[in-house]
Amino acid sequence: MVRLVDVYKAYRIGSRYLVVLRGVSLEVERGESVAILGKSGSGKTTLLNIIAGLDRPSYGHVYVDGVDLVYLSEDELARFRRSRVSFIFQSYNLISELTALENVMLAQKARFGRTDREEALRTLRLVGLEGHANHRPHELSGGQQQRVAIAMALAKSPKLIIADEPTGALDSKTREQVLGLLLDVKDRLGTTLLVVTHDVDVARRMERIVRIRDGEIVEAGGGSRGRGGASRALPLLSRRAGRAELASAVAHATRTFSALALATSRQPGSGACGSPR
Amino acid sequence: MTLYRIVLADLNPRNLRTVLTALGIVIGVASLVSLLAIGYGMRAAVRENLEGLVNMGFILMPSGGTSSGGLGLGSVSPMGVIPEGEIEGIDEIYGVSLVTPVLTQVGFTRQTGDSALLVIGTPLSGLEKGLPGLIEGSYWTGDREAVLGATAAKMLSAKPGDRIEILKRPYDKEGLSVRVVGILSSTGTFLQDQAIYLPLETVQEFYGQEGVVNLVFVRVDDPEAAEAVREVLVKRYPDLMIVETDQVMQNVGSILGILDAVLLGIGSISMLIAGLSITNSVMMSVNEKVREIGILKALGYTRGEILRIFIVEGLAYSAVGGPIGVAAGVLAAKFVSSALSVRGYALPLEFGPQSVVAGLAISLAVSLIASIPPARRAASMRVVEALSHE
Repeated sequence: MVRLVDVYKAYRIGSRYLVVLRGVSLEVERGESVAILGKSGSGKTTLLNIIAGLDRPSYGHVYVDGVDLVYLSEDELARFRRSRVSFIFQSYNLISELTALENVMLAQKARFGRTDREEALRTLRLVGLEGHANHRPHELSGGQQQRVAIAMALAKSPKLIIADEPTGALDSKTREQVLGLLLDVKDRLGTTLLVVTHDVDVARRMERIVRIRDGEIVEAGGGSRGRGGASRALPLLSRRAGRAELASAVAHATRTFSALALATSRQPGSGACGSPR
Repeated sequence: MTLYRIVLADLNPRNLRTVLTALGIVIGVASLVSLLAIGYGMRAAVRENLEGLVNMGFILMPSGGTSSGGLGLGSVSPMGVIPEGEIEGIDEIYGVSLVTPVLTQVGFTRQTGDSALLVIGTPLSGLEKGLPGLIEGSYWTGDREAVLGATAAKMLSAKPGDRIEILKRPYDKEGLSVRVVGILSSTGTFLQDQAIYLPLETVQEFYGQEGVVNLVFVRVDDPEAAEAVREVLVKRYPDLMIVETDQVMQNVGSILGILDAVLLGIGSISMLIAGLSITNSVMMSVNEKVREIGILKALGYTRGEILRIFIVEGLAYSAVGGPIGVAAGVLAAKFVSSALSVRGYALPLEFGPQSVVAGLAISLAVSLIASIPPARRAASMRVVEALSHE
């Protein structure tokens, strides 16, 4: 379903570069739920943005259903997002001018080019918000807003749901509700679920935990399962790239500046740029 | 529609920016429509008026009246005069079928207040042969009798037998009291329909211009005789301007063309300012909705779809401001016309469909062009940066 091969991401800040992802490789099977666990600034959101086609890697390949996102144009990436992926954000990201129902219909329109009011209402019912269809975001609690965001995600019938700290702004009771809803959707519809979190309890509810630190995957398997099913030993795909690999990265980099940045800024345990290692 | 509500929800009368931007369009369109109306009206009225009066032939006018005569406003503005004695015998030139010496002045009545009417002093023959027939009453038989153009009769609510008083200036205490004896059928020409026709001598006496006229219309029915008539007239009247009908039309056309260009230029500047105002408003809207743009992009909306959202916002300004601007333009033109008539200038107006269509079409085109730059900016935003915007 999702395969990342040697993905680097660097941002230019003035005359220096900030390397956020360092040679990340990862595989996620269809229908799997994976938590990407890491501290703030570890690169987990960047990783998710790249998988969702919201951002591009500086180097490496990102395959989703066999399609390498690196080679897609902006509009092709938009069509990829509309047809394959739903994104759930920590900050809900609802359109404040629209009601809950209209937000869901907006997602329908993006996915199918048309809206279906009855279907949108059914989706809201799924997340327990049928009574709040005509409420605008500011009239809803945080948990309710996140459930609207989940309804928006479901409205697109996605193969992949990517959630960035979906419970980060919620209290423990609401967190359980939202998590339960996401996992229920995953089980019922066979959707692949990728959740970024810094909360170990949330991560443990997923089938697999991928730990990320300073832009590198330090653990790609294990973790405890919260919802049945066999645990699967997964290979540690991430590794520190040696100088030879970096030289290869430079040779193949599609974005020269970031590759050069990697060559000059690699320091163990730090994302900051500076002297070469 | 849900998609467009993201931007259209903010466009309400309580939002000052919306009101000011729409007002910019209203003013731009109003300027354009009013100026076009005045331009079209002047062109149409002058042309039709001259064609109606002149038929085929020549107009003799004093040399000093060139500029005003060229504009076709000679009939309503002060200019030089021609002594009647100088034009005797024109009707004897071979090929000439009708000679009509005319003294035109501006007059007012108590009924019409500030609105100017054209007072035309003409021999009875000019009235009978030069204009369509009567729909009511008869031609004059005495020197204190008047025949009214169709529009003038309506403005004065007058019918044969009524008395009207013609004033030199609005609200003069004393004027010329005449009895209406007939009403002309409409010529379709503004100046002719909104005129009071009186015996030539009566107008000369009332305006203190005895023995003179300011225009002489010479009709030639046979086109082959026209050149010979022109040669005789030029030889006989070296001090007078002799212009052929076609020449008049050409002169009028070229002068009105310049006038049109000036008016259009002024209107265009108004629209340019209105366009910049739309660009500014849509740009502000884009800046305010960076996060929403990010959400839409994350949902999978393409650049083209996001471009359209903000173009629709720009078009919405003209959809609201355009029709109001057209209405305001009509009112503004009428106000200008009314203000000028107080000073003695009858300014005809014409609000043809072309003025309305042009006003609306230009406002839509300006809105479209003006909203493209900010819409492109919205469409080209990077989704991650847009989503992280606070």
